[in-house]
Amino acid sequence: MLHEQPLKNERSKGLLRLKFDHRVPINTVLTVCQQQPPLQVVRAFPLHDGAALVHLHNISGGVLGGDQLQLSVDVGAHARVQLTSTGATRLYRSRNGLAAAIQTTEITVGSNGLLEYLPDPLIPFAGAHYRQATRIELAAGAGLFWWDILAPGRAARGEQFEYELLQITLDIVASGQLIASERVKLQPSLRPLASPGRFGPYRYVASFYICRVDWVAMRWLALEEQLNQLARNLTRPGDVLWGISTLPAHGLVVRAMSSNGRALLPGLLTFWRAAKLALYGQEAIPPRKVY
Amino acid sequence: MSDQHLKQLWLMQLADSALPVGATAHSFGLETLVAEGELPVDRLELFLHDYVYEAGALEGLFCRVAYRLNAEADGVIIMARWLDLNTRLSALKPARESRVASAMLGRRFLRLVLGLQAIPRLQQALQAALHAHIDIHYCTAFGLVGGALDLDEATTVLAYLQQTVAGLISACQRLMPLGQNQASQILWRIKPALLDAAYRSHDCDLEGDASFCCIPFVDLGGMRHPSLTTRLFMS
Repeated sequence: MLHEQPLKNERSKGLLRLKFDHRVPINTVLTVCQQQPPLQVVRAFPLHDGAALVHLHNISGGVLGGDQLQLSVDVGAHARVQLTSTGATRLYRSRNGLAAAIQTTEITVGSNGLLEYLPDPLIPFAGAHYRQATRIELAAGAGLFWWDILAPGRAARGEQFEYELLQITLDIVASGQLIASERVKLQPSLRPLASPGRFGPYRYVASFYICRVDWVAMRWLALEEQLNQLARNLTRPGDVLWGISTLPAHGLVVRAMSSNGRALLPGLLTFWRAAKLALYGQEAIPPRKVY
Repeated sequence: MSDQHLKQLWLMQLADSALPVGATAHSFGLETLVAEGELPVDRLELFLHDYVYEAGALEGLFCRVAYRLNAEADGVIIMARWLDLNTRLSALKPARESRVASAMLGRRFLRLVLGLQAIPRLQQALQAALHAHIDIHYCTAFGLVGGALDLDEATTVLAYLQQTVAGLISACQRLMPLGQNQASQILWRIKPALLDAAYRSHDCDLEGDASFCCIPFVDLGGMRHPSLTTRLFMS
């Protein structure tokens, strides 16, 4: 639970509410869209499998100190949705006295719906102060492909772990059961991240949650082994590590750590393709953008 | 001799590394890190300090919350919270082998204690979790037992943390060139970190400071452990 704090200087209160409904025979349509800058969508694009693709925009170019952003996505029963960003999410330096920027995200996926959330990396600039809370609720038969990538900073200019605070929480609930939870608070100036107890020699971290509620439990272990074979092939110690584990129920998580960001997106695409085929018997359709 | 002395003896036995619950079979991901050269002996102490700050505080928190369940009078509420607590902790453990290891130790620990002393509340906790197919984690079982035996709360949490770290150090003695004297020195020097981790959980806030845990490198070691070609440990 994030507690809003009063702002010394008023900043953006962005809001984006999206609702997707399934229409017979196979199309998904965006039926409700409430938006308040800097969050914005332009339109939904139909994919050839009937899903709706939406690009999430932040028209201010990034998250500014003190911003309070809310994203709400409701994927109706049998609807299929793919969400992506238009570029990396830049978390700008917070000016002194401003409260942390806050992003809250609430997702619901109705019965037999599917959400594929495939954003670009999160890049916290030096001095950034940011809190993010995400809650995802999956109904019976619902599916989820959800990845996120965290960069150490503006790596091209040698910036690593110079942000002030990065607090990220994530809860995934499937048919009323909490199946995955993250509680991460990173304050590099207080607790060095390069420690072997935290990031070790790596700088980037990625997580990819793959869920389908009520899929046969034993098959998750088989899928874990299948994806672990891919992980072994993609792992290059010192450069990038990949690991897979089943969740307590209804899914598995792919986790990666890398010394650079280049290997992560291609790897995530590889796992997405394999898992989509295993879970749905269908090809993954990458968003129309360059990876 | 007082009743308190008897309780201290109970706690010493329950936190003894020789307690037959199977703790020596698990490295919780450390075997992967050592096998791949990512955790050399000269960085072990630093690693353990950070591990205690992150995972120690989290497990200390869940241990303490489980301890305080005993203060609730309504048995139905206790069992609901007990199951919720263990479900939450399962969700926070991404590495399957480490999660299963924690659940195996917790279940065995609870059964072992019930074999030593029949305590209806502990029996209910065991049955409720088995019936609901919910894991019983080691730290929550330890806390619940500590409360049920009316052991001191802070000492219960500290004893859990101490035996956890002692178990990791013992695993490292089998994985790396770490002598007994060196291992004892590390365990001796890390005690202030254990105190700090236990203190951070004193408010029992499952969304508070101690609930945050960032050990992605260790988690990944646990997730990749099944892929090691030669393994001494089950996790």
